[in-house]
Amino acid sequence: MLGVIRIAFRNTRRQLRRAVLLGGAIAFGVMVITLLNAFTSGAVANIKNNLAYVAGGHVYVIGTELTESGREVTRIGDDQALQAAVDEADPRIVSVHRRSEVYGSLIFRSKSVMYQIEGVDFAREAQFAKGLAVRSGSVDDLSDPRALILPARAAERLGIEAGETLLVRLQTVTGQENVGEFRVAAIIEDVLGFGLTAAYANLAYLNSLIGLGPSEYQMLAIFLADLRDIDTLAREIYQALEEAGTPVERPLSQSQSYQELEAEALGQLFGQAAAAIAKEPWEGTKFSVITLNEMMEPVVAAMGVLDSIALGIFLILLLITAVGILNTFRMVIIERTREIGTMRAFGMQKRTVRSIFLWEAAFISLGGGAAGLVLAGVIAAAVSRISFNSPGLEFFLDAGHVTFAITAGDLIGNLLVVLAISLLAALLPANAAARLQPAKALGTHF
Amino acid sequence: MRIRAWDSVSTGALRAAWLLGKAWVLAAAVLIVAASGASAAQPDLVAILRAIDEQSNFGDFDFSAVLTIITQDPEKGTEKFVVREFRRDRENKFLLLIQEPKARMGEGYLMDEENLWFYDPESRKFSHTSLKESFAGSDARNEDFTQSSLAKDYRPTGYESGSLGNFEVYIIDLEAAHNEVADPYLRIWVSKDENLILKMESYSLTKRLMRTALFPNYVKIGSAIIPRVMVFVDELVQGRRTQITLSEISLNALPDSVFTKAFVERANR
Repeated sequence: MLGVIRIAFRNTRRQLRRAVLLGGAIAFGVMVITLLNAFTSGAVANIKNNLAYVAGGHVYVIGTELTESGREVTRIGDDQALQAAVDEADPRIVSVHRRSEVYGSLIFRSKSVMYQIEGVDFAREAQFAKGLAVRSGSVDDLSDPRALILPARAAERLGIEAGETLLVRLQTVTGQENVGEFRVAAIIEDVLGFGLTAAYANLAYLNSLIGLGPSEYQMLAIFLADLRDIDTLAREIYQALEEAGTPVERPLSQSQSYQELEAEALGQLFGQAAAAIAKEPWEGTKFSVITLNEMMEPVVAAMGVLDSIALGIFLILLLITAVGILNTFRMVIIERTREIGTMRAFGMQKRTVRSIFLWEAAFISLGGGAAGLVLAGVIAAAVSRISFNSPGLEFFLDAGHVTFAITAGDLIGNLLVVLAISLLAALLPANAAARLQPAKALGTHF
Repeated sequence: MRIRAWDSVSTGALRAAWLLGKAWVLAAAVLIVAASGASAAQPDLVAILRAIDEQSNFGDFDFSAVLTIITQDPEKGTEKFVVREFRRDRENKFLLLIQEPKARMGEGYLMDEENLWFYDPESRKFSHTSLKESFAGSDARNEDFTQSSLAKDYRPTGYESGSLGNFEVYIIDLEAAHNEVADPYLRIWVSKDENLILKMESYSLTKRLMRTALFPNYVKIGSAIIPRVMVFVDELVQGRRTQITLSEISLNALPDSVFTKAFVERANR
């Protein structure tokens, strides 16, 4: 066996130019598929992280109540059932955040900018503000009910500095216009550069402006240690709420009108839910349990399409390469007919002759595949060092950088596909070589 | 002597009593007259609101007009929109179709009874929106283009008489009757002779002045009287205002198809 491998390796080296050309084609294909796979995986991971940051968690429980006129408003008034359903001491849970949210117009003199404002119970979430990257001002004392933590981009747009006062025009949960006055306690760095970093205000004060009671909130957001627990935990919360007899919306994935519910849930999550008339009235708070994975499904599907396109390109390239291997090996057999005849005359078995050619194909494909991986690695390393400032791209990026992520399984899988197609292409000429009669082969002249 | 004295005393007392009584009668008469005068001047505020609502309603007629909306923004500069409006008040329907600027041409707001839809010609999709939202980023709200419903949505909390320019007006303070109207508090200047709102101030829940609307020019069309020019001044963002001018006003009947999603999709194609 070792002798066969040695002969095959020697043959490959003998026709190095031809091997490099074939290997180069394979390398290009492997490089393309690896880069695209790694890019889509990296982008999905980045979108997931960015979305978790924007939405403030991995699992979200949103409450909806009915007004006297039967309109739906986002509000969690009585949260006893929810508190019982979410065990904050659960080791899977990193942190739990109670939030009220509103999309309002921040106004300073003649300038205004629309921004998401989240109400945070700073006393209860003492660590939250300390985790923010403060550019100016301070988050040490947020006891002033009108304190506002403002993202740098908003501050720059308004031309406002820490310590100054601004107005916020917003709507209550029932759609009434209201105006609140805030003092900028601190200006923080935008983690996401395109305006998706929220401004943070005191929960009770924000509640008073949007028509909620001081201890009420709209959403409970949960951060988990391991993202693989997202679906399990969401299911557990849903079941606990259902068993407690609380009105609870079916999980999105179980709903018939998935897209409709998803749009509604996303609207609620980002504080843009229109006060629609409820179709079926209920008592108290109705909860909806939404997960990051559910929100990511359209993104994952879109990235899946990109992956499929990449796979298509890869297979076409491989097909072209396979035709190249087939033709090259047929030429090689013609060139080496006398050599094959000599080896066969000295007693080499048909099977061994076939193996030599198949090993040659394996060397070329694995060599090309390895070169493609190295090339992909170099390009990925170079591209990931570039900082992109395009606002349209930032959701796909990790702090402005493209991330490439690929599993060892995917790499090995791609290489195995290359190897299998190359061997398949080489099989026909290898069989033809094995079938050559020694006497006839030795008598052939070119 | 005693009798005389008594007589004299009683006569004096009677005179005094008579004089006092006369004074009381006079005072009472003055009070009654004053009170009745005051009663005659007390306006029926709810009736005024009802009159305002009624004269902004086209009833059995369809209404169409071209709106020229000019917004002055200290940051964005001046923006001009030309919008065609179609209204059918009896069915609570309206359609606003943007015709200018070119970049926004084809966008539409379709009110179909309870639902207000926004149509985006780029994505060719309708999305749900609200009457309380700003119209195309201007200081006008979608509800500013619909019939007035002050009597239903507000209750008067006080008034005073005054003047605005050459007009004698009632200055009426209104409070929202429920929490689903955009403006929690209003102050309106209503002309005494024709019940026309000449000025309106909108206040937030925290009672901060947010917007002043001026209606300097009205036009009578059919039985309705509607403002031909509306000026909205943003009281929170310094220097921001929007002026809306109506032209090509008509009460001609409109086909039912105008108030449909299909029409909005076809329009300006």
